[in-house]
This record gives sequence, structure tokens and C-alpha cells, in this order.
Amino acid sequence: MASRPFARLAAWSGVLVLVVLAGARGAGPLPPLGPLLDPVHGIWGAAYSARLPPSAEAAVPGLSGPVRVVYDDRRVPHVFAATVPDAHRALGYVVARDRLFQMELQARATAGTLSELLGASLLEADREVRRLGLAWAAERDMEQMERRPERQPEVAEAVNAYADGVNAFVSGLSASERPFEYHLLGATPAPWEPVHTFYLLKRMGWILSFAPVELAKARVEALAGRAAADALFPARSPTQEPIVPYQGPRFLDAAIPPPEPPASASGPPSALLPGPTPRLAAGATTATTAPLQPPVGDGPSVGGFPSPEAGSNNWAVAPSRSASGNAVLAGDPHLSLSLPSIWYEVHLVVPGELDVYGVTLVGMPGVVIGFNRHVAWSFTNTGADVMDYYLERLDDPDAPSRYLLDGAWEPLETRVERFYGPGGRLLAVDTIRHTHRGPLLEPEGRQATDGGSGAATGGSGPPGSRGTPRGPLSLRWTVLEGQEEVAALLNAARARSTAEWLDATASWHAPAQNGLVAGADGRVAVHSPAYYPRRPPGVRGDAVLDGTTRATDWQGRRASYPRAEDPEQGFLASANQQPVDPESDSAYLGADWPPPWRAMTINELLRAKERHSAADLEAYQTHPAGVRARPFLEAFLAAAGLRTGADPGAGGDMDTQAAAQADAAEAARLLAEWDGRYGPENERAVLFEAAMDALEDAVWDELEDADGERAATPGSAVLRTLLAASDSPWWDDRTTPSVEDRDALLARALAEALGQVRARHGPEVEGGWAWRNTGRHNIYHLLRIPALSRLGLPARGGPQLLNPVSGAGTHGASWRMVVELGDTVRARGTYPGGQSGNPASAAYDDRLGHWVRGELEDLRFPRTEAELRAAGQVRAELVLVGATTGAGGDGGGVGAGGSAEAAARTETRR
Amino acid sequence: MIGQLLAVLAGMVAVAAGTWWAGWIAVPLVGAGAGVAWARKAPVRRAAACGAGGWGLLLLAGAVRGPVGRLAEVVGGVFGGLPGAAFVAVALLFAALVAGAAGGAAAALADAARVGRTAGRDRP
Repeated sequence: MASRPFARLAAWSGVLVLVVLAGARGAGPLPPLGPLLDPVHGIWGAAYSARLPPSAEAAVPGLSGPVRVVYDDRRVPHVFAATVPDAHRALGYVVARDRLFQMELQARATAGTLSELLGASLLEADREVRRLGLAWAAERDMEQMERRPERQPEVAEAVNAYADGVNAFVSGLSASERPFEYHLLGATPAPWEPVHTFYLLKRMGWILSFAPVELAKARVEALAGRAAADALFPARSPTQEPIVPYQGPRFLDAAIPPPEPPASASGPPSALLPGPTPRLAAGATTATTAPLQPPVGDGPSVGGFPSPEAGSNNWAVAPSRSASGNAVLAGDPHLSLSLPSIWYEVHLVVPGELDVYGVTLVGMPGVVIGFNRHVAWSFTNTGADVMDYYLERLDDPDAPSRYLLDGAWEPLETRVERFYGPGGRLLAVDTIRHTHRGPLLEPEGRQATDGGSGAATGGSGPPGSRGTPRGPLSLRWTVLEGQEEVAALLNAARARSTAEWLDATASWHAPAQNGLVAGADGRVAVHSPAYYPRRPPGVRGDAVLDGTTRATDWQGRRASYPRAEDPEQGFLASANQQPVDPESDSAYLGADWPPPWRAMTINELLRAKERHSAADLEAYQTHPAGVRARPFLEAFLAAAGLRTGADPGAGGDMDTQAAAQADAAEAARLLAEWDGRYGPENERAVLFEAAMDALEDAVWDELEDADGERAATPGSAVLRTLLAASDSPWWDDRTTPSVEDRDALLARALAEALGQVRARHGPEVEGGWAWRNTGRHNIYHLLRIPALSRLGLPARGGPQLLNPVSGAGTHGASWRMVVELGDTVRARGTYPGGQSGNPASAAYDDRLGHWVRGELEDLRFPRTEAELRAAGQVRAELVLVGATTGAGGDGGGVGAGGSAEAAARTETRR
Repeated sequence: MIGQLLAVLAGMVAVAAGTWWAGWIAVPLVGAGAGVAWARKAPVRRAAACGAGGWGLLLLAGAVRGPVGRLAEVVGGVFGGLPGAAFVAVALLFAALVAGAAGGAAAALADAARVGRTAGRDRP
């Protein structure tokens, strides 16, 4: 009997140890359950901070005076400060209050330190970004700014003030106030450093300008020959509707040379690649990393070529073409969508100095896209060629220390990158080498690791020759060489006229952007300033260049850039198309421009009537039709009419062929009913898109390598050009004994499309073909957690429309805005998501409904706090006070001098 | 009976206050105390009730401060699509388990000590 208490003691002690261990250390994939489930300090805290307190007060070190922040009924903070640095301190604070986890994750994604937070599975993603040197370049920018603060004093002041604001929030966070995701991960927020703002800029540069067109083109060259590669990925877009108005749409229908047989000596095309570049690797990333990668900005994607999902727009009408007689601007930058959104809406007011409203990048002081009392502006990506690869020759394939340059061996610079996991465990060490041009991207699997070395000697032939170059490539890229964007945006926000805005943004460095501005002065203008490399005569950036000579090096920045002001037509529009018609300026700015279908669509809409209202412009942003479909639809219908009788040379027996012809005819009959629109209930768009996919697969079979992987896909403007050559060898299907022509392939694509659509969506009469079943948006949470994502949202758009939607549906309009600049500025806008990054908050996704329906909301743009109050639009307020000045207001003291830690935020709710 | 209920209620308040002050680690400590106090009167069940009840009180109080139900749905979704109520139940169950195990161990320890003392007294 005496043993029973001891047995019970042993049993209960065992149970206790197990549950306490689960509570303290977690079990399997679960975080520690105790801190997670704790109703006071655990994840439940996310519920307590889900709603803004009606009134709160906090201390922020460095403030020169109290800053009042008034949240309106859309939860947009209106910051009323006495000085610009104070406004930036407050901005850092309020952004961190809503989006702290996103800020840290984005900074880590660029710094290559995700493994430290999320585990070793992110090591490869970290290695990629550090190989590219994004953080390294940002840190150089920061050092330069600290060495010469007089060069950009407003930038140094802004990024430091912003960091002060963020850290004031971070240092005062209690355990329960940590953002939701930190509880899930069992982590604590890291302090924000000023350099993190520069990380963010580099990240945007990566998203918007990492387009290794030369690599994809070289792979195509290896498969089909140089002449074909040049024609399929041309420097002159075959359809012209440029940003700088020139003529109406213009078609440069040059013949596309036939494909040559694959080069037998060139080896597999993949041998060209020095390793998976981030964009090239994007498809292979883990579910966790995918949203952190820049799979698609609104520029090129896989292989450096445009994704059909991508596409930003902006356009503006001058007073002569607007219904109200005021200039009106519309803008909708398209990016990879995420929850929370990349943008945060804010209004900054410093009397006499600043009164700007718009969206800020989470982590950056200032407004990126928005308006003030005088001008409104928006950007689209230029997609210019601002990066070149150089084929290098190294001294030693196993342990390179020098590279050949003009006949002499030059030393390679090295930087050592260390990678850590959670808890500080060392995961890997990489040695990254640099030539004078930039980082050396060595072949996959040969990156020097753990202090070791490995590199290939370069060169199987002269770069740009037919053979696929092998070996190490160095990268020169404007994104790695300085920044001017913060200064440009800070000054642009204060512009009092379109001319001032153009001057403020003229120094823009990277990524190249098409900045459109409209002013209350009645002017409209667009320009695309950036560091465009001035290459030596005869050297273009769309081929891998010879690294063994300085003769291929850049010679500085081009002095001019595309620009148009107050055009006679009374409007301007940009949609990522080639900025200038090469007939008016033949200078090389890039290659393989996105097809200008969206530009043509908006120009067509703007030409269609004399005057446009702000509501018209808002409706155009989700206009359900585009011009891309027209030439292809016409060709499909004509081909189905032409194709009669079985082809004895085609594959399959005569019965099969007859059935295919009947299917093609039936598909053509159904397509003939299509009105070219992609409305949610439209039942023919799905067939057209399936036919386009089938056509691309059939036409570009010559671009498939031995593994059946297509090296790259030419744009649809090139495919349209090919339609004019009915017997081009490109139409032939190499897998059949017969020689197909255009109409045979078009008819086959129709038949295949009909079969696919019926298999996927059922018979055409049962409603399964409605476009809403195909066109969907999928907006993932940053950690790709389905419960925090919003998937399967119906889309009001389609491929190459002004609201482009296709494929995975993970891209779209990241912000939509329409601004009319009269005596009173009227603005409407929305973005997919909400102001709060807290999934328990209603403001996490409260704008999704508007966004999905293509509706904009009225934006509040009060001159004073009283104006907002008088309109009954105040939801909450926050008073920020300097740590050394006391709380003021109601007399409640908050904080008192000393270090940032001592002056930690103590947010008191009243 | 009412006295016992009041005692358990006091235990719940102790768990809630302890959690507020010291975090979740207060739960096994209060549970152990309950186990000792009720060593011969269903210590495991009573300690578990104190743990779950204490956290339940805190969650009820939290519901006034923010959308606890919505949060439970979100977190439940993250953890394999559990309904919100199930996630709340998981939290309460965890508290019950920790407090109950601590109560059981403490009660057994008290019993063992008593048995040890008794055996010492009986030894010639």
C-alpha cells in the first residue's frame, strides 16, 4: 500500500513534465504552447489590439513637439506634425503599429536572414539574395550617406526619424502586443535600423528591374539561332503605341527568320545559367518563401519575359479632355499581391511644408504614389534594360582569385556571407566574389561554400556567338549602384506644380519608372528618368557581353530619358510599353517589351470620346475588354473556315482528323458568339484563352529543349506578327510527319481548346464556362498560411486587359487611385487588403470587397483635424509626444528622457 | 458544498491573477498549490478546474477588449482548420492539463510525504 503514493507521484510527475515541456518548448511543428495559449500574454493579445483604441498616447524619442494622429473612418492615419522629421517619426510609429511583422519580414527577405526567423528551409532563398548583393549594396548606400550626410540631408533625416518612430513602438511592446505572427513563430520583433529602408528600395529594384533578358535569349539562340532570337525578343516592339505620343498604333511587321537546327556543340541550354537567379528560381521556391520572392513585379517574370498577369497602368487627361475642366489622373500599379498589402495609406501634414496623401511602402518614409493640393502622380514600371551579364574568364576553376581583363589578371574582391538559423546556429558560409562590375554568379552547385571555393573557368567562345556561353558571369546592375529614390519622393511630395514634380523626380536612379503627373495648373506630363547605362557603340544589353575587356563596360549614365508634356491629344498613358517609338528615337533602352495591348486599350478608350469624367477613368481601370484578342480571334475564325478536308500528312487516322476538324469548326462557331469581353458571366472568353494557350504551345515547340522545357516564350505581339506569314516554318509542328501551316495550327489549337474546356468545365450550355470560374485572384498571406490568405476571389479582368488577370491569379492592382485636381482635390482609391496586418482585425481585409468589385472609395483629404471631425469621419486618435517633453494634453506624463529603451513607448489608452 | 465551490472559484481567480502577473507558468504553480490543499479530495479534478476556469475567466474578460471569437477562428484555421470554439477548448484543456498534472503530482507528493512520516513513526 505504501508504494501507491509513490507510483502516483511518478505518474503525475511524468505527465507534468510532458505538458510543461510542451508548454515551454513546443512539440513538433507547434510553437511553445504556454506562451502561445496564455490568455494574457499569448496570441489572444492580437484580439485585444485588433481595434484601435478611441484615444491613445505614446512617447517617441526625438519629437520636437506633440504630433497628433487622427485615424479616419477608413482607418487611414492623418498625421499632423510641426516639422517634416516629426511627421516621419510619427509615420514610422503608425506603420509599425499596424504592420510590424511585415516590415521585419521584408527586411529579412532582402537581407537574406529569413532562416534566422523561419528556419533552415529558407537557407537557399537567403543565399540567393546575398549572392545578388542586395543588402550589401544597401549597406554601401547607407555608409555613403553617413559619410556625406550633406549630399542628401533630407534622406538621412527621414530614414533616421522613421527608424526612431518604429523603434519607439517596438521597444514598448509587451508580449501580448506582439503582432500575431510573432506568437505563431515564438519570436520577438527585431529593432528597425535605418538601413532597412534601403533594403526595401533594393527589394523593389529587384522586383521591378531584375530581367535577365540576355540569359533567356541566349538559351533561345542555342535552340533556334541568333537571327530568330533577335526577332522573337526584339529591341523594337513589333506593335508600337509608345508612352511618348508619336502616331496612333503602328505595326512593324518584320519577317521572323526560320528556326535553325539546335546547335549541337552548345550543350544543354541550362549550362548558360550561373545558378538559379531569384526570378528564375521563383517557380521552385517553397510555399513559405514564395510570397517573399519577387516572382513578378509588373515587369518580366520567368526567364526575364513578361508574365501575362503583369501590368501597371496610369493615364491622365488634361483639362481640355476632362468633363470637369480639371486635370484628372488615374493610376493602378500591379504587383504580386499579398496580405497584408505592400502599401499603407497615409496623409502627412506639416503646415506650410507638406500636405501629401497616398500610399507608402511599408518600411519607407514618405509617400510613393499619391497627391497633394497641387499635383497627383503614379508610376508604372519602365522595364528598361539596366543590368548586363559579362562572361568572365577566371584563373583557376577550383579556387579563383583573379579574372582576366584586357590581357592582365585582376584580383577578385571577396565578401563572406554567414547564414544562421534560429537560435544562432551557423548554417552555412558563402564566399561571394566580385569583379569591378559586380557580383560573380557562379554555376549552380559551385558556389564557394564553407570557406571552400569553386568556380568554372569561363568561355567556350566569344560572347554573343552562336554557342551557349558557359561559366561564371558577372552582373552589373544599376540597382546595386546607389539610390536617389528617397530624396526624389520626399521632394516630389512637396511639389507645387507639374514642373516642380518633374524636377524633383529627374534624379531617379533605379528601378526605371514611368512617372505620370497631373497638376492643378492644368498640365499633364510623363517621364521615365533612371540610370540608363550608356553602353559603348555597338554594344547592347540584350546579349551576354565579353568580360575579358573593358571595351564592353558602361560609360556612364545616358543624359536623356523619355519625356512628354502637355501633348496635343490632351492625354497621356503608360502601361509598361516601349516608352518611345524607335522611329522617333532609336536609342536602345531595352528589349522584349511587354506587348502594348493595354496601352492600346486605354488610348482607344481615351480617343473614343472628347471628354472624360473621373468616374469614366475609374470604370476604365476594370474595363472588361482589350485589343489583344482581336487579331487572334479573327485568325482563329478564318482558319476554321479555311480548313476543310482531311490532311493525309497529318498524324492520326482520317476519322480522328475529321473529328478534330469538326471540333475546330464547333469551337469557331462558339467563338464567333464572343463579344471580346471578360465579364464574370461571359461564357466564351475561357475558350479563347484555352485556344491561345494551345496555340502558343504548338507554335513555340522549336524553343523546347531536350527535356521539353520551353526556354522562353515570345510575347503575343510577336505571335501576332507571325500571323501574317501563313507558311512560316515556325507554324510547323516538328512532331508530325507533315508540314503544318498557320491555319492548320490555328484550327488544331481550336479543337484542342474545345476539348480541354469541355473536360474542365463541362458542356457549354451549363454555365460552367462562365469567366468567373477561371479568372480568380489568390492573395496569399506573407507566410502562405491558407487561413490567413484570401483565395479564389472573383476577378474583373483577364489576360492583357487593363486589369490583367491570368495564371495563378497572384498578381493584380496593388493600388487603384483616381484624382481630380481642381480648386478642391477629389480622390478615390482602394487596395486589396486593409490597413491592419492583424488577421483578427476587421481592417485586415476590409477593402477586398471594393477592390474585387472594381469600386474605389472616397479618400479623406482634410486640411485640418477639425475638418475631419466636422465631417464626423474620426475613428480614433493618437497623440505622440517627445520622450523628454511629457505627455501634455490631458496632463498624463508619458516617458521621460534617457535612452530609447528608457523612453520606451508606453501607449496609454484613454 | 458552497464552500467547496467558493474554494474552487478562488483557485480560478488565483490562476487568472497568477497568469496575469507571471504568465502561463503560474498555472502549474497554482495547480500544485491546489493539489496540496485538496490532496485527499479529488485534487486533479479540482486543480484542473482551477486551471481551465482561471483561463476561461481571462478569455471572458478579454472578449470585452477585442474580438476573441474572431481570433479563435483565425488561429483555429491556422492550426489545421479547427473551428474557433475548438481552439478555445484547446487553450482551456491545456490549462486544465497543466494545472491538473501539477495538482496530481503535488497531491501524490503530499501523500508520499505523509506515508513516509507515518512509516517513520511506526518503525520500532
